[in-house]
Amino acid sequence: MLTAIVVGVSTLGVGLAVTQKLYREFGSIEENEILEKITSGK
Amino acid sequence: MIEQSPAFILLAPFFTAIFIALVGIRFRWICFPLVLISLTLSVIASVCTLFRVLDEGTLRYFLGGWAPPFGIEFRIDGLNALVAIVITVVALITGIYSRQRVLAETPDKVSQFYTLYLLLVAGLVGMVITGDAFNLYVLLEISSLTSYGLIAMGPKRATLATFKYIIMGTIGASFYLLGVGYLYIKTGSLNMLDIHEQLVANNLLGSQSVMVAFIMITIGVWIKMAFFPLHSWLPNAYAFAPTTTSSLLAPLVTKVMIYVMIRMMLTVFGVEYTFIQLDWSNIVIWMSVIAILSGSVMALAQTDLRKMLAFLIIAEVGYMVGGVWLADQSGMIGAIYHIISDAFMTLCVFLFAGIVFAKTGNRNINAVEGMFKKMPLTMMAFIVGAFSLIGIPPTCGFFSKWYLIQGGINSGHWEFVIALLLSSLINAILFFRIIEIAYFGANPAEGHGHHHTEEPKRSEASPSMLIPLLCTAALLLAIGIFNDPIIRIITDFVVATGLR
Repeated sequence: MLTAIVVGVSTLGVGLAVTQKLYREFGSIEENEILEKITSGK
Repeated sequence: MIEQSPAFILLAPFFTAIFIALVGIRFRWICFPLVLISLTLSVIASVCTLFRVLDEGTLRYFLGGWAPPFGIEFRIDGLNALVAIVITVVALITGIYSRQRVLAETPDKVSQFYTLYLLLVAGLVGMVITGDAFNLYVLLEISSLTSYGLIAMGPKRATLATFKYIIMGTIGASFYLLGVGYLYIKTGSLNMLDIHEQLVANNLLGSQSVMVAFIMITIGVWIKMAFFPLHSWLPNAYAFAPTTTSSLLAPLVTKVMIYVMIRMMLTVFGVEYTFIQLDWSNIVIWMSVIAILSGSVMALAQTDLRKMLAFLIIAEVGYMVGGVWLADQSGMIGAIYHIISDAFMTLCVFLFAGIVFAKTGNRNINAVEGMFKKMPLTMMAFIVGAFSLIGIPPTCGFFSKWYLIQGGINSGHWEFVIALLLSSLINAILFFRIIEIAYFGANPAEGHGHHHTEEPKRSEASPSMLIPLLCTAALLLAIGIFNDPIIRIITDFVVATGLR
């Protein structure tokens, strides 16, 4: 039980860190804006 | 010392990971040798463990001396001893290979990279040797969380792929945890063998909640192994991750999840329950047929080399899931043997893709143009890997397909046999296209004139990348030629579970 909570919190932490990285790289956290940037950017 | 070998497999990479996290930031040069030492120790420990299993039968190792209902148990039989060797050897080979690429791709994060790398290996190995269903969940999450970190170190697009993987991976792990929860409610135990004994002793196998637990666990594991309709996270995550990361993840993660599925089906629920009482083989085999065909066809449509290989993994997952669910001895042997051979063949082609990317900086299939002249050794190793994926003897891919097809014929699932053969043909098209480009160039008709004038110089990749690739190719041949002892170990395991 406690272990599952710990795992949940750390997953949340990693998820938020990746979201932050997404924002830094694409300037947005809206999925359609990011996809637009990927398709048009290259 | 030798009594502790099961623990060493897991603890060598685990403690080294912590040590690298502490010291590696200050002394960057120390990371690489430490990784090699710990993984070598781990390989030695897993080989020792296999020999002990062959001598003494199933090993039970109680961590810290606490007996099962309270403590954690490592339970090692022929199956997980073999898979543990595969994991540690693949990790060691990729470890050697990583030296240059890590410095080139993530120069400021070397110690972080290796910490996550070793933790990932520890998580994967732990999942394989543990005998405790909840422990398996924790190690599953350790390996997933570290792999998210490793993939996110890649270039821009890797971040989005990681995010998708996090969502899908967490859903998969939650499904698995829910299933274990149901089992715990019904049996009051988390030890795999104990759960099975309780299920049989209390006559719980007809219970609805046990069926729900089975469905939950199976779906959770399917998400994690990217079985066809649940595969969407895999291609981008493996295609855009750093080179070393995808060479480690692609061979191991899906195969370890296949192992978990086999363990759950055969040890926890038992052969009788999964194949006779539930009798879902027909549905699952049709699903795997769809997985094999769609994986292969989607691979045909790719122009990105690593993405093409990633779709091939989805097809390979279909092979193994189908082989397991054939409910036939040869099918099961084929599936387990395919875990071993597929790990090395995927490793071989991904190492090749990494070398191509390192040499040319290009992800496209056309990047291999003229490689036969420039890098003959690399191409030789690639051809061995490609032949193995197609299934040409004496590479190991031939033997695993042989057993899978035999299983399909024995159990009368002709659709599976046809899907396997079709997928082999598609693999042949895929790889001969690459070989053709490498030999004749992308546009042989128009570029014919100046191909003769400029004689490209031989420039192989550096030894730290070439030697792992050549070792893998040699291993592919060795596993194929010496398949007999491996098959014997697997057969002993399958017979002991009571599958006919």
